[in-house]
Amino acid sequence: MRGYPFIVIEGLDGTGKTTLRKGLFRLWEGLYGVTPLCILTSNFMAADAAADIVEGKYQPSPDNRDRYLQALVADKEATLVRLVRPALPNRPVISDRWLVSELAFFAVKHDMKPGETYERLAAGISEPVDLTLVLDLDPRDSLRRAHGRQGDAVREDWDVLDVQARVRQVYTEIVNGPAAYPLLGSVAHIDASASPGSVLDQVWQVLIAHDLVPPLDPATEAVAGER
Amino acid sequence: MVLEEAAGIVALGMAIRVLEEHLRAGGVAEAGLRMAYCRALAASVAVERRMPALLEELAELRLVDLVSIAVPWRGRFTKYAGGTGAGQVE
Repeated sequence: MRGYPFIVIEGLDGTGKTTLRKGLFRLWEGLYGVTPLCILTSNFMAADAAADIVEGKYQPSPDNRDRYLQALVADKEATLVRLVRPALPNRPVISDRWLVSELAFFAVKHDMKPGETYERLAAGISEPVDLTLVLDLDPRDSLRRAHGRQGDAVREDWDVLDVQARVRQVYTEIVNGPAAYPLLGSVAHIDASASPGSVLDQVWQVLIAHDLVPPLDPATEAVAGER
Repeated sequence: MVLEEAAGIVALGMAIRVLEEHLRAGGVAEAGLRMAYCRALAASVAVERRMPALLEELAELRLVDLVSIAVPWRGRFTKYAGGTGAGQVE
């Protein structure tokens, strides 16, 4: 059994994914004494796939759709082999987006059903996530937050209400039927309208409920990381 | 104002450590304690973006060493711009 969990944070732009990731990082490091590894949905671990990832993401077209899917599979599998799997015996891994965001992207940009995209991705991805956290917020509020923050690029063809509403539909569909997506692991709906502290507490309780954090009882602390 | 902000960050760091000790001593089941810790961690995330400028404003004050390691932030282990370098924690 591997030691620590692979946790994914998903949600619309502006729902607080980065804030939650940083909060979880501090929680793990400060309270549990373990420094997590944080990764992104694309980590450019498969060098040959890098160009197709950039083109497929920023210039999506029917011509590059399948190459983009294959590139995502290659990059995620390389990330799993080179980063995630070696880390999990020693530390949790927290990913800012992973599979759900790809399902939403292909639904919006290529009109592919999430189940169809999932099957294509799952064919080449060997490692499941332990817990996928879906931060849920009304797109009007998430867009307000996304446009209000400093130093973050807002994409004109993506960070608009109709697109974000469609993305949220995909998220909702997945949250309501997670059994169809086993690589997501357990899927938890998180109310992102709450304050950052409350969101972190919600997530912490989910981690405890799923037995994904080590015990803090001083008498049992020695078994931390050997769940 | 700079000193007030610096003192606030040091107090936040102290609060985080005190809460961690209580949580390790069996306090995870206490909702109020858990929430206080989560709020403190969220506050530390919020002050992170202010840290480089604040350390710059503290300039040569020795307080800069204490402030730079009081709360977790992403530049904690890098040498701050300016100053003597005495706050390096690498």
